Amino acid sequence: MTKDNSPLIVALAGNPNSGKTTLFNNLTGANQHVGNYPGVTVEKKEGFVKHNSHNIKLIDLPGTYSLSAYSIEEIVTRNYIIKNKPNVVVNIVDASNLERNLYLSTQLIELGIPVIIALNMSDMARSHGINIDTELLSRLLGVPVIPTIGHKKKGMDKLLEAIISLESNDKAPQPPEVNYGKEFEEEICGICRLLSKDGKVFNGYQPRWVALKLLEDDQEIQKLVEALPDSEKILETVKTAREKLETLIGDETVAIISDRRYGFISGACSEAITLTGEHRHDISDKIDLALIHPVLGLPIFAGLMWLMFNLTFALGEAPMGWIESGVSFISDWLSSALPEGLISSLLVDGIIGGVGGVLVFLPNIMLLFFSIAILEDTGYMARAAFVMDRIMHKIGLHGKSFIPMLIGFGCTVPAYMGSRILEDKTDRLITLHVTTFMSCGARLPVYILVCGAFWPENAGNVIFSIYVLGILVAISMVKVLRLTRFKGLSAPFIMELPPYRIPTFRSLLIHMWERSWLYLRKAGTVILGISIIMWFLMTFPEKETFSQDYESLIQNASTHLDTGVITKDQKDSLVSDYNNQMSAESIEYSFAGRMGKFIEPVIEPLGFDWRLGIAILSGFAAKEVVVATMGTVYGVGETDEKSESLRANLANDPLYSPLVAYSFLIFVLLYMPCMAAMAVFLRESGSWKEVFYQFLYSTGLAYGLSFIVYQCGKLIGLV
Amino acid sequence: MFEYLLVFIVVALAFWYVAQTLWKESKGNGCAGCKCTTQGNKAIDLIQIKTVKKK
Repeated sequence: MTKDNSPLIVALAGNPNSGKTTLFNNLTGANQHVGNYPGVTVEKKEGFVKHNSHNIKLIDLPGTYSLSAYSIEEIVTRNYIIKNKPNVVVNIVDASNLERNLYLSTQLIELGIPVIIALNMSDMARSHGINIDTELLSRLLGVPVIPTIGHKKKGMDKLLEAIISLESNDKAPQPPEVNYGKEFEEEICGICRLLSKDGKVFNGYQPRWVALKLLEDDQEIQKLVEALPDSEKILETVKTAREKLETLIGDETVAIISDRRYGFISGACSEAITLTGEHRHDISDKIDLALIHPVLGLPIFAGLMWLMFNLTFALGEAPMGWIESGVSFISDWLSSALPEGLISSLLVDGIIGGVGGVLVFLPNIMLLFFSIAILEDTGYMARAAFVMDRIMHKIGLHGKSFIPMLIGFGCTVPAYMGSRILEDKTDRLITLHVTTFMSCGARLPVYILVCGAFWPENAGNVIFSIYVLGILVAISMVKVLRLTRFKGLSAPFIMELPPYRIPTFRSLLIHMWERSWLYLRKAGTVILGISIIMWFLMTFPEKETFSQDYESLIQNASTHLDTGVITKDQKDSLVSDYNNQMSAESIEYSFAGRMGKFIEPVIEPLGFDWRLGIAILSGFAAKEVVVATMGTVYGVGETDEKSESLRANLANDPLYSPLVAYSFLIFVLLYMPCMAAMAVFLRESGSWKEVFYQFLYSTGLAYGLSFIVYQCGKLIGLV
Repeated sequence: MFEYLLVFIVVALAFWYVAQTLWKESKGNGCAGCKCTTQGNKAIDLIQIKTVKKK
């Protein structure tokens, strides 16, 4: 407790993925409260812990890489520390990635607040061959350094004792200042002198820290300074200082400051760290010679993508066939076991047709996510972004934007959230708008279904072409958006390439299973529900009077067979035709048929009939539903006693051709994402205007491209 | 008659479930009940990037 018996306020700060939340959970247990920071959607977690009669209130600050004002998380963390003045800030540092993590530490130390460094994941660092002399590091940085192992709950007591001891010690150690060089220090001193005159306005900000932020061109701090009576003079001095330093050193002040900080960190690390595992980095560097090569990098990336989609299709083919046979067997068994009627139709055509149609693609989904997990866990995804960085720069965005886009191959929701890593709002909006075109895993079943039906020999290549088309459209749209709605340049940056790792089979399986389970769960919940609704819409209202008396016609056919007028084959063919016509009239009379017929004139120029239109509409709820709806549409429409697979139904339909199929694939690839993703889009963009824009332009683009492909194909006789 | 009643109950339940799920999703937390948002945060955490500007 503090001297006035109120609990000690301790803020936990650290880089994302440094184990901060694990440590927070270890210390607080279930005793925590989750809320939001005022005015922003950044999560605020508070918890309480009692140690040796001291009450401690812990605040889990958002994970940040620095205290610059580039991201909301950075601003929230910085403002909390400065305005709320916690008694101690515990900086959780990933010991296996010390240099990068200490960048935030130096900035915290520069704020002049009591800091303790929790050297987390120290066991992992040791296993990576990194030995850290914590006592020496503590002396060099001027703050206590406590080794912890979050996941094993080791070092927690020592950390709590260090917090209490630091708070109760009136003479906290003075950490050494980072020296920014003679020229910089002179300018910092000059700005500090001007700031100290009106220091009260800064309410806790250290003048040296403010001076540094002004030299870094920090807009938030600049706004604060603008409120000062002497602001013009101060800002003029800063501007002159910045120009002078940039001319003198030949680089941006922000880059020089970060270089000097890294220099300080590098010095501290080279003193305190002994490396025994350098060979890992050597191997990584050697692999990178090929994988991020300026010429070879892109073809290798394309090759890996090609391999991924071909394997997804080829290896998934056999298990897909087994599930398909299983679904057909259950369908046939139920059809024969149940009396013909509504319940039988609901079970067979609605539920099994819809849910079964989606379940068939489970092996492909598993294979896709297994492949993505390999690329992510080995560290290749960061290289893919690095390779794309060169292209992205040319069109006005940087490689960092490609990371959310790559995440989009899995699911659009985390991909949209991933755009938060972009500091600039314009960059973030452009990334959000183009990430839509990166085909998510839920669209894969549609591709496999359609490609398997129309290009059974080349399905993998056609699927690959669809994914490549998605990337090309995304990249082209970046350029278009940069030239139209979001003019300007993107901020340059450095990308860090983590060393390659050999992923464990277990972690790959876990990643794969997480996504596959989600797919299965969705099939058993939302997709099941939508399949039932679609069946209802396709069955009701029931048609009672038809254009012809089909019952009599079928009866006549049987009589003609008995009298020898027609053969058995002819009779079967006639009966099948009458049944098909009757079924077609029934569906067209249904709610879904009327809805489909209503939109048919709009989608006809794309080569789609009303059934594909209904499938597309249902895809607004979730993309997997497209396949489920097709399964139900064809299930209800099917009149044969023996169920055909959905693929066979599609391939045998005279209305569809490979050209219609490709036009359909393009539409599914590009039209607006599912409802859940759109809701996250709204949250991340913060504007309904952007949501409507996204809806209109992605669906418009899907329509335009499908139209061009279908109409051009028709012109050259591809139908 | 019983058949119609049963079918309509099933359809009404499905409609209620889907509407409720989509309503939850429209609040912006990813697919209802799934871990999209957690995975999103994890994905951001996994991205190893220095936010350092440099020429």
